[in-house]
Amino acid sequence: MTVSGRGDGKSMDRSRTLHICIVCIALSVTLLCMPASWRSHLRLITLSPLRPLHSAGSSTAHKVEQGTAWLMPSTQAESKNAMSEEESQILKSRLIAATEQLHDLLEQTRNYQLLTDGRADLSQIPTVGADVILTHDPSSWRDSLLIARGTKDGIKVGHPVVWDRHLVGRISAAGPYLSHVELITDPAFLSSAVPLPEPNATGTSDVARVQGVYEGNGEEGGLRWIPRTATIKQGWYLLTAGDQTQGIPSGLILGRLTDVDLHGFYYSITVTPTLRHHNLRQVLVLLTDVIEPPERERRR
Amino acid sequence: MKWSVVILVTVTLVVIQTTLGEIIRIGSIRPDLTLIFAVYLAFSVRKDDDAVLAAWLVGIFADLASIGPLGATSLIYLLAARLIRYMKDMLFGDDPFVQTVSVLFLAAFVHALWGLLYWMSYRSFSFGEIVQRSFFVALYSAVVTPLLLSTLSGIRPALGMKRSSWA
Repeated sequence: MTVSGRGDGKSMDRSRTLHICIVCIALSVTLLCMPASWRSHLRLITLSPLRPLHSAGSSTAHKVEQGTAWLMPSTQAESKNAMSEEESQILKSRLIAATEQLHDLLEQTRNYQLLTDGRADLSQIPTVGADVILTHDPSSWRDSLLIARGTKDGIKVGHPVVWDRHLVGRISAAGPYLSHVELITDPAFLSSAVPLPEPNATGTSDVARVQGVYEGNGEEGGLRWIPRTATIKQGWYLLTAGDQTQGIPSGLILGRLTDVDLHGFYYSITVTPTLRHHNLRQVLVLLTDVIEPPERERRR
Repeated sequence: MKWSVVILVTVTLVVIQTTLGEIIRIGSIRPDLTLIFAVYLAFSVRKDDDAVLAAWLVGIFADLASIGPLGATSLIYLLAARLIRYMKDMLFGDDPFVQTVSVLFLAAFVHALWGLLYWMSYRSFSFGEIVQRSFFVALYSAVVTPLLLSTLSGIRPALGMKRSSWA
């Protein structure tokens, strides 16, 4: 009797486990088959509780800064007393060297701006600043950020996300309060791009510009479809070529060409982003006019 | 089984993985903390149905924070938990070494599977990269497993589980 009782219990447990498995699998498959817009909406609404966590973290950091501010005057006074004449001389010489370096950098920047022809002019485009909540994607194959702005702030799927003159990525899903940013290193990211030749002493270049297709690979990026007839060198910057349909302005920095090889008729080029996206705390979303991709394409 | 604590630990691990990535990464490789937790639950929970449901729940939370397809990770974790429960007696119970080896093999398999799926969709990385990255993620996850297991063994009562023989 006892043995059969135990056997019944075990078979009941098994059938219960089987039922739970079937229900969970059915739920997962339903989520997988849902339209992409529903899926992203559901995802971002579920993640909404994370938003106050971030603002709480920021205000705590601010309070800590305020709380420790009273320590500053005494610290400065102590350091003032401790600074000898010799140390101030060393600092003066360092300041002179730094000023010279700054002049060099300003000159380089001027040359660089001449080359870009001021094309990445973002002043005419309305923007929304956003705090970054999650800096990494849990998947090792995807690269994304979660930002604390959504459709209530005018954000739409496809809007470009920038930091200074660097393209960070594109909005891949927008909820009411949160949005997911598909980074330029994500495998789903594609954009037309132009390698920028290094300027000569006069700030110009004779090398003809060629357009290729930039795509992420989960870690860095690659530039494709540049024919071998073109002149390409390692260390050149890669800029966006501008895409009306995707609303990406031209002249935004994607990265630097770190590895240039010939592969058949085309170059095989590795692009390393100049910006460490995962260290970003704030980004700007460009509220450009974008043509929303059809549902079938967004499923990717 | 205390489900609220399971959810809290899962959310904490997802937040660690998605915010402290720069600290825990080696190169571009980060450990798969949620997979380690799912494997731990699959080994440690007394009832089969609870183990399977817990692993699925961990997968759902990992799915929510990612831009990948929603529901896929939960499905993979559920199947992994089912496999572990099926093989648990053959694998000498919930020994930490067995759990570490399980994490190594499952992480390699899961990440290679994901890599293949993305390779079929985007073709932006090579087959060699899939093998290399999956191997290193699995290796790093396996290295981190004993540390995470020792932390989790400390909160076993909070999770509503009895202390394990090795703890």
